[in-house]
Amino acid sequence: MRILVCIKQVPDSTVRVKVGADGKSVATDGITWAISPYDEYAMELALERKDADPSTVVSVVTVGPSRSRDALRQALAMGADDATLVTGAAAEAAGGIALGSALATVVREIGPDVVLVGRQASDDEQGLVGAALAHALGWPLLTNVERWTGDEIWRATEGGHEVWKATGPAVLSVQRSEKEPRYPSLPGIMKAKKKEIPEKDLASLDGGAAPSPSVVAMEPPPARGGGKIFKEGDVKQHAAAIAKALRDEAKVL
Amino acid sequence: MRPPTEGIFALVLAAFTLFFFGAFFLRAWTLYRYLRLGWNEDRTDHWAKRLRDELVIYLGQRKLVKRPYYARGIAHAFIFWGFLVITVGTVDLLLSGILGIHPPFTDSGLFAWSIDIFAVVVLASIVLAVLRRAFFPPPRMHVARDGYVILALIAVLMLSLLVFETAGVAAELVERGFTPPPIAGLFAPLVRGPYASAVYAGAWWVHVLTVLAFAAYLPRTKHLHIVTTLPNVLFRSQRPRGALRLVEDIEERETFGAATLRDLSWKQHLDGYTCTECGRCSDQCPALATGKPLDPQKIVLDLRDLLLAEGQRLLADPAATGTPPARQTATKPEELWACTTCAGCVEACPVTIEHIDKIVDMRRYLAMQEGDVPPEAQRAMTNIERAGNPWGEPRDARADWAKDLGVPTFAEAPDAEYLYFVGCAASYDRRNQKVARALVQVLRAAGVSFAILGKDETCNGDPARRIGNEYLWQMQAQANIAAMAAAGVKKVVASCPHCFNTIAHEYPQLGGRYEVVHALSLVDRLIADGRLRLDGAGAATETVAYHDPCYLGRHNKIYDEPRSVLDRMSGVERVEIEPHHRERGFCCGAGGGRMWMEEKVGQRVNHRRVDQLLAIDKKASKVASGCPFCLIMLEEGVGAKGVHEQVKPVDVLELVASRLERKDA
Amino acid sequence: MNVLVIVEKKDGEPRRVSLEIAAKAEELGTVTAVDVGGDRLDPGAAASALAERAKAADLVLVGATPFGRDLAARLAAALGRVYASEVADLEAEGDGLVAVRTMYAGKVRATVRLPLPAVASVRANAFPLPEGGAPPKTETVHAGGAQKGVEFVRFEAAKESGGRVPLTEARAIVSAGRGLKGPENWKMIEELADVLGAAIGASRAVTDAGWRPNEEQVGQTGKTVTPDLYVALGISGAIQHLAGMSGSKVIVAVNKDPDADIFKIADYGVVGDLFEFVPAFTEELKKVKKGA
Repeated sequence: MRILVCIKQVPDSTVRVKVGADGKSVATDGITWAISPYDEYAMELALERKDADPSTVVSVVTVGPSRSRDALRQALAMGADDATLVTGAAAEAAGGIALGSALATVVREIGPDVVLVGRQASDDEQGLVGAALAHALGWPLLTNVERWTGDEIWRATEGGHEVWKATGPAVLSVQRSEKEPRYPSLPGIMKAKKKEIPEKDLASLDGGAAPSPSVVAMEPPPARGGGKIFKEGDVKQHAAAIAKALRDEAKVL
Repeated sequence: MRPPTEGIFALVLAAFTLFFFGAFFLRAWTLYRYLRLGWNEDRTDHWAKRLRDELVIYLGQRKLVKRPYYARGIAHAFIFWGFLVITVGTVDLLLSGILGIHPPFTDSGLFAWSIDIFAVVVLASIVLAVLRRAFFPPPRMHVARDGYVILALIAVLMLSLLVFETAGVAAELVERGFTPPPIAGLFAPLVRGPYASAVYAGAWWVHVLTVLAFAAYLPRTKHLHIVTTLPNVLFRSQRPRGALRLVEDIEERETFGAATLRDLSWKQHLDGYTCTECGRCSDQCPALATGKPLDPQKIVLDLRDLLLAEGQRLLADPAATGTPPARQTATKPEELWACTTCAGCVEACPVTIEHIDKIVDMRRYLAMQEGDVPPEAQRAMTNIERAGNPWGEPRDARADWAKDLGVPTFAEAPDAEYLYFVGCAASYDRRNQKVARALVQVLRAAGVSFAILGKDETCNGDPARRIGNEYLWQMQAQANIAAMAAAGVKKVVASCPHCFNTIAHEYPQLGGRYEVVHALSLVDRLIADGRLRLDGAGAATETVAYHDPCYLGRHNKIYDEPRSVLDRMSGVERVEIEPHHRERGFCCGAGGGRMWMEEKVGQRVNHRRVDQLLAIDKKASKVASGCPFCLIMLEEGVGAKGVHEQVKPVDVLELVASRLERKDA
Repeated sequence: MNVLVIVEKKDGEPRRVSLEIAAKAEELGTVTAVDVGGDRLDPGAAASALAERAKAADLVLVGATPFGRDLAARLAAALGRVYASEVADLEAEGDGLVAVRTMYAGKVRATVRLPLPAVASVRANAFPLPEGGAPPKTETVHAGGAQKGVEFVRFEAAKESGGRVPLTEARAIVSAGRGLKGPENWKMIEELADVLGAAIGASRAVTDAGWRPNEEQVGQTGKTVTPDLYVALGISGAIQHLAGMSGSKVIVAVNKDPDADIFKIADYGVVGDLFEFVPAFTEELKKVKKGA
């Protein structure tokens, strides 16, 4: 079986994100990049298949600027067999639908039986690529996948899991793997360093312009600390005040 | 004395000698070839130190005679010394028995006295040893048949020696010019008579044959240590104890850590031959004490047994790799992951076995070769790699704690004398930030010029290295070394013993050499020099128990300075957590990367430590340490036990800062 | 503008978020509301069934539930439309819309422009539910079967979590520590979690003591979580715990120690007795959720 995992390089989750000078993008100087967390789960899920059946070939692809090569190296170090970088001037800003159709071209070239994507990338948090890719390929899409053993695909739904079966090629959007994504072994890292990573020009793929939302402003996250701490007084009143604030100020209810 | 080996008997003795020594050397040769399967680590540096160790540890039995093993240690020392003296006597017996010649000095009074005194002392010690094994066996000691056999053999040796000497004197067989056995001789009148020479000959042969049998038996038992301790002490590691061995050319290697028995050095295998199964290491192990699946003695013996089981096959086929030691059936990975690298075992071992190196070599295999580490430890390493700290806090928040203090970075104060290497805990953990602030106050009060690296500082790499991820340690160390080079750092002060240890002893392996001092050593010196004045006036007397951090104490022998700092303060009554202090200090449970691993089996090590703290006679109101990990673990332990009101964990630096002479007062 | 609102039903009743977006849609333009019927609905099949109607609308709004997010992305993909997921605010502006949504794991609040036609999934509680407003009239669209190429096999009900979302996926988490004093006191925590639709977490001390299962442990050696709301009850905030939850968007902390480190990162905090706080908070949340 051949599995293609589509990954994206994003600022690592440990990075303190700052808004850039233009006020509508994130400052990227000096930050650490990593594979988006859900994509790491997708990688792990694919590699678990490979663990179970060593004849499985795991390919990995990303669309992004040239720094994304590091994410592919990481994926190779984890155990992927080969990697493809799709890059170009438009790679960084491409929206989900454009990415979906570009990746569909790659899928047709590589010819995997199953394509895995992470549920959503942790930068734009759109979660559109899986749907766009499945649509472009005309393949079914199963979302919120957490487990894939034998021919059973488990997707999380309210109160449990739906177990599905694919009768042909399919796109799986992964939100979890059984185990935490693996830490690459050192031989894996060394081998990955030496592997060729072929490059494709995004413009040459069947992407085309697709409309996508444009960011007009970004607000930095509020600094930690300086919260509202009620040090004394009636605890019940505070409980009421906080309940209201959660709905009206913080909007998290 | 004239040996009872007239005529053919000299030949018989020669044949026996050849046979038994042959059996000894045959086995010894096999063991030696197995040992040489290990890689050829160079242990021929520091000759002066090695000779001194040999005198003190081997001949002086220094590591045997110590708390809490005084009695048995002294008993062993006498058996050992007796053994040495009597070995000379044995050589004399064999030479005179076969060739009729005596080595020089064997005719002297000193020799005769030594033999007899030690024969009696050894006998007495044997009685002690048998009684102890039979009635008060130490909990961790393997009381096996082997031990009794050896003790019995030695007893037979001593008894037969005394008997043949007595009978020899009675039969007037003492040769001209030789001093008669002074003690055995006293009993000569008892056996005077026609049978004296027959008794002499019988006891003599029993003695000599027992010696020979002993020699042949030796290399097939743990009593091989009688022979191997000599080289094992001579070739002990002369690295600073806190330093792990560098993995050289890490990017060029194909295997990492102890992938096979060949990847352990010959000295690691010699350690296995030398283990006396005394269990002193096990007695000190915090993991074992709290019910974890780790016993340092078992680790050493499992490796030895693996070598004995697979040695022949590995010798026969140079391409064979055999079982990876970390994957053998005897030692489980859980055992390896339970180690806190506290060095309790290394400190306790009377024959200088290096337990930690073995465990780390096997962890290196698991971590680097297989990438198989406990998931929480993996998360800590990913965090170190990506964020420069094991908790995964933002890299650029590293210096936030110092913002309102106006602590300069080296970029702002390039002429600063000291780099304060803050470390991850004091940078990010709010509890330990208070310690960092205390050190800043103290250094300022003493007029020490210092600066920090700020965002250019990254995790020192210690947890990664001890988890077995040497590669990540090297990356972290190189990043710090580069940052320190760019800043022109010459002197470093660290408030974290792990930072201190790895920068002082391990960074030189990668070319980073600085004058490194732990904050408490520096503070002690500053007070002694009169640069730092403490004003205890008004401070109420508090009873402070000092907890030895492993990486200050056992790994770096910094026991006295923190105590001295406490003693220099007014209002502090210092107490020890008896009996677990100094060399026998009990780990907090966080070393060796354990801080970032789950601990679900048995009691938590830090909870045991708090139990020990609560059990001392003089109740402490504070427990002071000099390590951020210890502080986190003690805080957690005290909280879990619900005794936070009763005893407060602090860092010694906080106590110092609270007693600084106030300029405005 | 023509707005298609897709109403999601649970147990025959429209979900609250669907009502919220339907009300908002009225402000934006002409509303058509449909609901998709059927148990264990395949979002793929639902998307196919709805595609024609969606095509006719300038804006399609769906509640950002797991089902809604899935459906909305499929519709946007199928129609090739501008898409914004999980918007927290939405206004008409010029010939398009501006939406507010979080990015970068909730760390950044972004304002985005959406040219029409567009599809958006909308977070719960983004818009108020007008009091006494009648639920929108909906037409039911039947979406039978499944997408081509996949087959539904069976449903596996979650065993232990009591039907709660797993910790790492939870939008809200109620987490309690040693301050809870004993396993018998967890009932009130569960009640609070039920009101919030939250998962339950615990400090290491609690799982150590065996009051709660290990899987619920949050922290350095447990789970790392990043919910929108983290309620820390009787948790002091040692770094080992903070490392697992400091990425939470909004933190509410209750502790009787005013110096507890948790307050340094809390957005809302109460120094006091949690046994007094929790029941009161549960009641207040019920009221607030009803729109009081």
